Amino acid sequence: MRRADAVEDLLVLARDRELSEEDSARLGRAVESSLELKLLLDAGYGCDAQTRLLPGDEAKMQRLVERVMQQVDAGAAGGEPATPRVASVYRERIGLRRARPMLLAAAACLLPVGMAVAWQVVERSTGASPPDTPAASASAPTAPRTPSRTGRNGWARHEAGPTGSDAAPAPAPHAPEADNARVDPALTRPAAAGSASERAVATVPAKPRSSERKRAADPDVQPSGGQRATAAELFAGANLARREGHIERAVQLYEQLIQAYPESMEAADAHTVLGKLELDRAPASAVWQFRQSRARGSTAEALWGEAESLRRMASPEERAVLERIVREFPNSPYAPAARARLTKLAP
Amino acid sequence: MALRLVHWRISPNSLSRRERADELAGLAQAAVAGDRGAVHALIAALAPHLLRTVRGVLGRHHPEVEDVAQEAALVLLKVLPSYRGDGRVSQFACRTAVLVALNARRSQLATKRGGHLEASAIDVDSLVGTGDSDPERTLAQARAAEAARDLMLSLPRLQAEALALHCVAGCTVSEIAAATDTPLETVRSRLRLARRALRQRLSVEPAWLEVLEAGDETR
Repeated sequence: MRRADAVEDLLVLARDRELSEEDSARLGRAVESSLELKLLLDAGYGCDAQTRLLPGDEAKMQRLVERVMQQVDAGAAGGEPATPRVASVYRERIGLRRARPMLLAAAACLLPVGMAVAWQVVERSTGASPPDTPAASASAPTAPRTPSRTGRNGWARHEAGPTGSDAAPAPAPHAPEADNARVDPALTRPAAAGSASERAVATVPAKPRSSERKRAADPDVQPSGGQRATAAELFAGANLARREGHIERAVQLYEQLIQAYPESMEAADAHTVLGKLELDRAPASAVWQFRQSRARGSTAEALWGEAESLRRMASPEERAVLERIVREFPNSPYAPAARARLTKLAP
Repeated sequence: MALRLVHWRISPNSLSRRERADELAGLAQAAVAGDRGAVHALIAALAPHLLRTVRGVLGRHHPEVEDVAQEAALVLLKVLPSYRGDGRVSQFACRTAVLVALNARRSQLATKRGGHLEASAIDVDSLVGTGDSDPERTLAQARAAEAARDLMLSLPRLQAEALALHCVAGCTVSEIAAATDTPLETVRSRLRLARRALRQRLSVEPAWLEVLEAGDETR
């Protein structure tokens, strides 16, 4: 049987070996006509690159074998190997049918206990008995939760209400688990004392949240109606304009974003994109954009962009930037390219 | 030393791996029969597959890669008696690793926020470059891989499994069918549904289109 009948198979075989001309043409046509096939092909190559075995993996595999054999020996000696997730994976896939009667029996046993607990909760909420911990009820009257429930709810609220939290961050006291789940330090900037506009900027999350991304993807909900657009909205709007070929509009929005939210992560990305847009047209300006991006935290990518711009300007500074890539980011994908370029630059 | 040779002879993605007879079938049989030496040799031989597959699902720098690979090896030994010789042992192991790793990633997602593709979610400086690769292309492919991993979490388990075997483990449709003991058309259908879900995500997630755009720029 010919294995390359389906396009799905060609996606895999192309990673494994060189395809015949006919298959290569077929795959090319399929990928050109389908965005998702294009992404899957790239994803396959990306997975291959990321899962490649590297020096040091030999030791990891050796450790793996030793630990597994310890578990096997412990099992053979009468002990139970510690495999916490094993049951959860394979109960679903292999032993579920066999385990079902036992699960039902267990559920039947737990049902009365659950009902009793629920009855107690109802009694307390109707005032039949005082709360156990007055201090806790005073600080958080509506949400005495178990740790696990608090974590899940905190996550759900975070995802559901980004706009609300932007407008009015609520400093209500709550459990530490909720703190961890709701306030990700990477997503917020420290509160800034100063003008109202500065404080407003300080409350803007540095990364776009999923709901904001969806909102920004829709051209109908772009900044309007008197509300100030978030950094994520501006960035998404600029990207959309760029993809649709409205480069001037895109540049305008990137610049607006940089001006309004100079410290945001989107601003750093905007500088990088602007640098790429200006690379061929105005390399000197591109150098400035990439340096601005680096100043905001972008690193190897911005350095590489800067080196590319300097190469177009035939500037001797290119060498120093390339050397910095090799020195500071030796494992990045830019390092081999930088080394290759340095070899060409060698006198 | 002999074990090391076995590792590299069955190294995934080597050119002739698809044509070779399954060298591990005998070891698997002996391991099921309780031969400790065979268990050791089998796990040593499959360790690269397990490590690679778990990395593919969790991401290269995930802190739990080693632990999850170890867990996958233990699960593999447990379910090995159910291996009926359909497909290669290494594919059976990859499937096991995919299931364990997907489960680990889902558990992680259930307990803390995360899992969505962000434009800056890829640690660019941690990517491994090769001498002949274009760095922009490497980055675009890494982003695409992250997008595929993200998609797996939102898919029903059977579709996620098929997609992971296809995308991460590099299995063809017939290999997935053999590894999962599923009819060919069912596997095709699962992959089609996964692609449909991917298409829907592409239509609503600007960051995903960015991934494709970056890939286009470097083509």
